[in-house]
Amino acid sequence: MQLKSLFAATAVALVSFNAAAAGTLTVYTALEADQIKPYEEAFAKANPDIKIRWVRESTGVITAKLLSEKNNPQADVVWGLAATSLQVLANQNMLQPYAPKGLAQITPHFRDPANPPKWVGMDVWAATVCFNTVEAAKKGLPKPTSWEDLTKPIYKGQIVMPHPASSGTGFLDVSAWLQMFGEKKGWDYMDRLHGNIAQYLHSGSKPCTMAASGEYPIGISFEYRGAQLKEKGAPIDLIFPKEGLGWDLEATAIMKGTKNLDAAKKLADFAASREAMEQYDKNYAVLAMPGVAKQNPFIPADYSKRLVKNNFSWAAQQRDTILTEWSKRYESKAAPKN
Amino acid sequence: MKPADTILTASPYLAVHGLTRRYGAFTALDNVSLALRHGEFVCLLGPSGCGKTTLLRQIAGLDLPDSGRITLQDRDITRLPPAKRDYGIVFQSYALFPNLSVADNIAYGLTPRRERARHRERVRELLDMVGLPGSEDKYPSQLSGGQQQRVALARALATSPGLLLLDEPLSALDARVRDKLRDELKRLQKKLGVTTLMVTHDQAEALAIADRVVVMNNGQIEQIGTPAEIYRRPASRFVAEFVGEANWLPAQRIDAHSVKVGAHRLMLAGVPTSGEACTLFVRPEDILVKPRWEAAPNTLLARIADVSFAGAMTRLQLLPEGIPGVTLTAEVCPSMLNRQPLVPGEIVPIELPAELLVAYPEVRA
Amino acid sequence: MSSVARRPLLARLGGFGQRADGETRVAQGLVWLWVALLAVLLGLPLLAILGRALLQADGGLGFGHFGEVLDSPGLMHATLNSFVVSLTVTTIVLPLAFGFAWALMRSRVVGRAVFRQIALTPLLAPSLMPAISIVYLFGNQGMLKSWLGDGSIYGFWGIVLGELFYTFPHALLILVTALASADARLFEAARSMGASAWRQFFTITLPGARYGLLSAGLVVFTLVITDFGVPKVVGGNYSVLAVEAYKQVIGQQNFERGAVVGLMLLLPAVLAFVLERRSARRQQAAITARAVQYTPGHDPLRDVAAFGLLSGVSVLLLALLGVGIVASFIGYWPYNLKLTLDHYDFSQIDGGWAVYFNSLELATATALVGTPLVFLGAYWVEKLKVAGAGRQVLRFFAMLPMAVPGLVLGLGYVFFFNHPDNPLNGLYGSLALMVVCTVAHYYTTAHLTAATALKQLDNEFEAVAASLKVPFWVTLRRVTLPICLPALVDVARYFFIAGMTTVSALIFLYSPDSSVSAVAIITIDDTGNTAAAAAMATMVVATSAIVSILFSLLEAWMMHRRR
Repeated sequence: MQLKSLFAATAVALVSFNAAAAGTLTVYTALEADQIKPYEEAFAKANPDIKIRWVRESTGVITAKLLSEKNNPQADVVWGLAATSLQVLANQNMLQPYAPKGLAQITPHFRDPANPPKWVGMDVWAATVCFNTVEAAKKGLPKPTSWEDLTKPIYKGQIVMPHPASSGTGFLDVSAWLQMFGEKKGWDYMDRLHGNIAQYLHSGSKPCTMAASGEYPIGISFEYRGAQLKEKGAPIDLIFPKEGLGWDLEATAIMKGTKNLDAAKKLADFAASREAMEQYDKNYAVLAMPGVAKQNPFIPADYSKRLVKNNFSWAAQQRDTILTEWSKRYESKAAPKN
Repeated sequence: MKPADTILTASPYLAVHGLTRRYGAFTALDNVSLALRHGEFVCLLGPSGCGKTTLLRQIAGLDLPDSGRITLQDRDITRLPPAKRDYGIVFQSYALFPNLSVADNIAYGLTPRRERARHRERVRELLDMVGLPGSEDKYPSQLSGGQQQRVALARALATSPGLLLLDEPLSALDARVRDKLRDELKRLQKKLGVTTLMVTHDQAEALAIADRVVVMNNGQIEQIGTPAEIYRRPASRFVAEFVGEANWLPAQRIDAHSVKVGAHRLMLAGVPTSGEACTLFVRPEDILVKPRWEAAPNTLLARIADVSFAGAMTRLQLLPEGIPGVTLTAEVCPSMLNRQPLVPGEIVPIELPAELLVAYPEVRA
Repeated sequence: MSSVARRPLLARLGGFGQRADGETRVAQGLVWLWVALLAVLLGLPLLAILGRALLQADGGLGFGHFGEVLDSPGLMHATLNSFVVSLTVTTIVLPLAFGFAWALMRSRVVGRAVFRQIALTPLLAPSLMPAISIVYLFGNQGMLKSWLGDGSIYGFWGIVLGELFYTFPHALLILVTALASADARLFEAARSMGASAWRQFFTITLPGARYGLLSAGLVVFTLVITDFGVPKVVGGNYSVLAVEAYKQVIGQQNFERGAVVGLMLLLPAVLAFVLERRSARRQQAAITARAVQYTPGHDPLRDVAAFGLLSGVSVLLLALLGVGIVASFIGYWPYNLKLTLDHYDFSQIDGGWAVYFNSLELATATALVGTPLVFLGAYWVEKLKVAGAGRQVLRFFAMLPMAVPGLVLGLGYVFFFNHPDNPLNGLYGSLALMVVCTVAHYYTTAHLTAATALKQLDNEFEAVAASLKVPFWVTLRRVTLPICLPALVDVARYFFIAGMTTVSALIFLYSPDSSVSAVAIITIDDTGNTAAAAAMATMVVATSAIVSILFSLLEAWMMHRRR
């Protein structure tokens, strides 16, 4: 009895010590670590009374975490997670519908079509191939221009790509190939590509950083990391395969059952605001709010036209099936991943 | 027959009643009873594993008995924790606290802690008493073994306990230091009049220091008595063998005062009634070597097999005639040798004095 | 038999059966309090794994999850891989470490103390450090890539090499101890009978170290099969069980499968532990108290061979440590070799510099919490004569962590402390819980250090104090604690370094606010920023080294003062 009450007392003390102050939001995100800080600062400028406690993991981990916490959600808001993943949560009725203040200015197909929407897009990130010109020259590798090129025998063991179960970038590639080529041809394409893949990596960034350092000459990644590394002087070319680019939206949603609904709404408002978009613009070429984006020298002007058609609700519904199938086919070769 | 303690009734200072302690299948103490008079020095003597240390630890409260009772001045202390009893203790290992000075070691149990001046005085007094004046500021590692044991003694006596327990206190010391400290210990004990119980496996030490000796074997008390009683009239063959040296002669009972040994008939004070066969016991120094043969009771001839010099005494190995297969050890003093040189091969008359012969029922030892 | 006072059964269980006075009650209370603490820190989390592995979706108990794991080819594949890697590393490390230990103990090479220190430096580094160095040495852009020809370091050999570095000092410490107990008289006898040096080696040295070899082999095997730092970084597509457990729990939040894999990892560790204990008991009888210290004689040929071995292994170990450190200062490997401190600007990574300070905090707290907990626990076990049953349980708990890999303990903590019904679940994700977990993870070695120091004290101190009516806590404070201070410093240093370098348990427990350096190395490396990961690892190594030296100085000063 005494022991139990002692435990209880300790627990209460610790919980209250740990628990957030009234104005603290627990935000789950799959944003890149280096992006978070400026976003947070911009938000803090607009809402100095609200503090953010970040939980950052790769897309796959965050999605799995959110799903596993379904009965006891820990997050108040999700800011910066693939729309496909958010759609999976929406299908499970885990998201709080909310129309943020600037919703009218958001491009219609960059938000959940429901009204009010359960998630609202921030920006687009899309598949990009990082190609190390120095190493390629050493090895005599021609520059690929299409997805199909990557299956050529000459690239055997030269390509790294993200693992679709842990990385959102990995998933959008797989999802796009299946949507673009059709299911049968899509899997057939991946079977052939698999023969050339050296490692499946945990994150969407790592293939490009590895390509940039020449560890592997070709990394299937996304444009932000590629552009950033190129700007830093990495000897890479960014390749936008001509068949079209898989893409996904980074998006924002409020978790159903949050105890901080007011603060959560403020964050959702901010995430869809022009100030926020100006932050996103530093990283991405296509934003959910038209007219904000400025041209990035490393990204072609017709970039948005190269994006394939992406059916979020299909991708969300099929996500589990696709990952299971993928794992069955290629898992024995998967790199250690989260 | 269990030896009963004769003074159990006389309101003893410390009394142990039917104490039993088992460790699994092993019985370390088997229904042991014992009583100490106020101011008495008693030694628990016995071979290792006989239960003497177990008994001391029960009295100290460092271990608890399975059954039985311990009283201190008629107060039942059987289940009291050590601190609620009233004794000081000294161990073979000294157990001095190495990080504390001699003074701090001795004052360790003095209360209240803040009365430092009074403690300093007491420490000085104790150090004088144990013969180490002025050693207050030394550390145990700077002292010899004997000096450390003196400090340990001073520490045990610091709180003026009514009972002093000594667990093989001298066993770790050199022979000479041991003898010196033994005498001082006895002197000090008499002076302070503190009731003392000492455990030892050294019979010479026990006989030299104790008022009474308790001989233990296999968890039981074999005999309780003064050193002279223990030595002269050992209550059992075990005691006779353990304390001092002894000769053993196989004998047949003839009547209440005589036995047949080999071809001889020997007279003695008493013969146990149980059974035909018995064993005769005689101390080496009690065998008399006679200058010339004369027919007398208990006198027989023996051939000298060996003569060896053993310091104060000379040791003879004798082959008595008419008792085949028996070698007797005798000890004679130098003055006797001056009168009568003894050489191996010689045949001499010897007497086994009747009043010094003891017969024990035959048990295969 | 008139006055027989039977000892009541309850009193026997409670310990001493003494008429409980205040002091006895305090002592009993403390013993049971420690039992309760360790039950929460160790017993319950481990039971939670078992429960989680057996609990079926319908609420009943069964082996369904075991079936799923056995059915999934990926996991079985990983199991096989784990065994192959662990066996390989063990077979390579044992002769190397034995040779090294032999050269240290049985030769007259100058500077043996220095070689010994070098061989122990891997203890200061998280297991990711060698993995990072390996990437720089043998990766596709590695300095020594040409050595591999067409082969790739990512995978089996990368893991083996990294684990070699990580496990070498552990094996060495055991084997040095095993060789230290040699009896010179045996060698003299053999020489007098004309036995050659080789014959002496095979008939005396090797059999004498038999137990040490077994023990070292088991320790290495367990360390490798449960480590996941090295395979995470250089494993490539070579999947192993430890990473698989992590993947199941964190990556897919599949706790049940994770629990099953955890139990699979626990199995070899427990087996090794039992084997080790059994042979330890047999070994004790074999050592005689009268052994004479062996001192090597003059033999230049042997010394040259020994020097070759010592310097060879030392160079390899230093390379696996040093390359990572150097790499952390290189601008952009391999294209820009300018030296820079840029990688130490951790603002671009999760948590930034805060993770380093979290590490310092974790290590300091682990030392501050662990040292008294372990020392007092050891004191209760060794010196208090009450609550016999409690002390028995306490002794068991103290030895338990040796058989529990960090990864498994971490999983247990997730299951136990993150359970919504656990009143302590508020602790989940906090630095406090990570401290507690680290203390529990490294409890055994610390306990043995403290217990050894306590055993060296005169057994009668407590008896004397009790006779003088001084309660045990006064003697603990005035005598036992001051004497054991050097051992305490040793334990504190051990805990501090453990806190700096440990990864395997914490990977399940950290939250964004409480991430620590060793964990951050993994997350940084995941983004591909290997240089920053190397920089973070360098910070850990440097801190461990500096603190270790400081503690050594403190200990030396204490020993000096005690003279």
